Amino acid sequence: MKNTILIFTFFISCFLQAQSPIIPLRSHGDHITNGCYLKDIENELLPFTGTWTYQEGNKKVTLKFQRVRMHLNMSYPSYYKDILEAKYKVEVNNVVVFDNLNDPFNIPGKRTISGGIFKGDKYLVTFVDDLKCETWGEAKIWIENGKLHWDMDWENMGPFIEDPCPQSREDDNFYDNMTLPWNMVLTKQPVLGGS
Amino acid sequence: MKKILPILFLLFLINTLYMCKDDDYLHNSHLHENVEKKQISFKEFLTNVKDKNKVKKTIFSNFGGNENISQKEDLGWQIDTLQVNQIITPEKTTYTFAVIELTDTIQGFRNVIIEESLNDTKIYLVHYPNGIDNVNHSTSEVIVEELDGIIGKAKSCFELVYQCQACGSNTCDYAPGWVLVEVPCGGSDGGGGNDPGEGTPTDPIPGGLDPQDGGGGGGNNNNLPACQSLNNKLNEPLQNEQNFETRIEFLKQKVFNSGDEWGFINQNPSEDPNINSNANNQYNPARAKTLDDGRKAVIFDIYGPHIFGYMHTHPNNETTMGIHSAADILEFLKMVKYRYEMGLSTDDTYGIVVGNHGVYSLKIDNINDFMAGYGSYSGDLLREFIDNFKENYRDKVANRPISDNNQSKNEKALLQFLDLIKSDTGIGLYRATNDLNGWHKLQLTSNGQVQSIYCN
Repeated sequence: MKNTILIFTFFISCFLQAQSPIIPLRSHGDHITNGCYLKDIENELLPFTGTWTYQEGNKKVTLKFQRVRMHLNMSYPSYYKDILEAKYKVEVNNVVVFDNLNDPFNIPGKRTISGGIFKGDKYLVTFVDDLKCETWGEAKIWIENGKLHWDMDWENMGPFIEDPCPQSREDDNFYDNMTLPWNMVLTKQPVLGGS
Repeated sequence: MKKILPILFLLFLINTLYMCKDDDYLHNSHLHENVEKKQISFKEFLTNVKDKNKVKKTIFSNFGGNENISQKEDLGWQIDTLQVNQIITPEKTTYTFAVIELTDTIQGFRNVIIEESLNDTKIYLVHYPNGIDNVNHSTSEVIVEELDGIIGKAKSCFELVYQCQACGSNTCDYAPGWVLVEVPCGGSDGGGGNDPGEGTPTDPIPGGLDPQDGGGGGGNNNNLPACQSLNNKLNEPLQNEQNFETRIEFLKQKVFNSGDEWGFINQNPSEDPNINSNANNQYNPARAKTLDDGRKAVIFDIYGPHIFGYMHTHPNNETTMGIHSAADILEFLKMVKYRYEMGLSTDDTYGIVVGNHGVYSLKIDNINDFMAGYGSYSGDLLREFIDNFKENYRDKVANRPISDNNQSKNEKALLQFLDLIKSDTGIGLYRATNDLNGWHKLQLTSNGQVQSIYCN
């Protein structure tokens, strides 16, 4: 029986291997073939995972990053990829402005912060601001001296997904005040001990 | 024959007004004080058409259903309701629709014309089996069939013959100089209309039988509608010494002498549902945001269906690519979607980047792909599409070394990316000639190389 289980597991593994050739996470371009799996073999995404906080004046931001395994990119070639995804909470004067910290991860169409690719030691994530007519932007994140740096880039800021957003034309400072600050340095929160 | 004569009279009248035309011809909204030609939405058509029962019985299965595509199931074709051309004269009003063929047995292309007079409504199916030759101005065949509840009644056959009208110039001005000459219908289908009629040339067909009125140009003619639209922009008349071409030339200079982005929005205020205006083809400078480093970046604010084009610069520097960014492409798609949803023409939409490689325009090559894909996405599905879109753009285009930032590699990368979304968007890429006299369609060959095809 034990041998049967081992043989069965072996064949299943071979089957999965044949179906999803595993390539490094930083692979790109012609190296990506249909059905392959860009795996975080070297655990480059792990240091980002966990809960991070930022405080500036009366604004407090909490970001919770998680590594999502085998996120499916539905294009051609379609492929699986390990990515970072984050949920966040913003409080202003202790009043919650936005909070999706407890929402599930890896739900299609529900990602507000998700990666991504590495450019050097920086990881690029997309941020969709649900409070700003779904304006989307791109941020570079990296860890330096134990702190997580967040740097949003206007040049990769995109249009509203569906909403014509009249307030963007009425408010000259509309883009200056996104729900998340353009630049942050966040501190990692300790993981609470548990059983 | 008798039923065709009135429409031919209409054509004669309108041709007289078009002879040696002045600038009025190029403006869609008003051509002559007694003739009005404009594009309307399908909703407007439904509001205006008199004999809805006849129209419904003949060619629509359901007025109140999907208003973007209407059909009678047994016809083998359906009309495209995205663009309706209306021509009004004192005697008649015509509505022209392009026909979408559901089979591939029809050569050339067809239009449907609904003609309303005081006491009657007639519906014609007009077939151009060999297309229309706008290049060499050769004679084309035109078959006119009246639809009257019962499909397939008598047909009348014509030849569309270009007439050379010098109009004081030394070169031959063909436009709009078409005439229809009635000829016997050939073939074994009986074809009705064997009455040779008077055999005298009749006059051009502005009111609906002009194939361009229906946005016709089905798959068998040689002109790419996108190219035609882009060439039309290059040939735009000057208004206050400015036009499309002068603005492109202005932006070309800015690429190299300014670190800021510069741009224009092209819109039809007459199509803005929030204002009362008759203006068309208006250009406004794009808004700009000042970045932390003092440079200015363009904001497009595609916020309504009246906006149909944009053009902007990508400044010349080591890291900026002279091709469309992900945001530029999504902005273009959003613009097309707004217009599509409001039943406005998407043929003229464009999104142009002027950079150090030249002038590139996005166009919709296949509106059916757009309608079935991006045009139908909303909510979570749209967001997921955009998530994948951004990821693929990063992978194919953005995540390349700086050493790859040159024209050939940028074009190839962009085309590789656009191929990924083509089935969902129908999108195509065009590059203007350096002298702004025409356009090349860009595409990848089967072995992945960039191919440029001069188009007119």
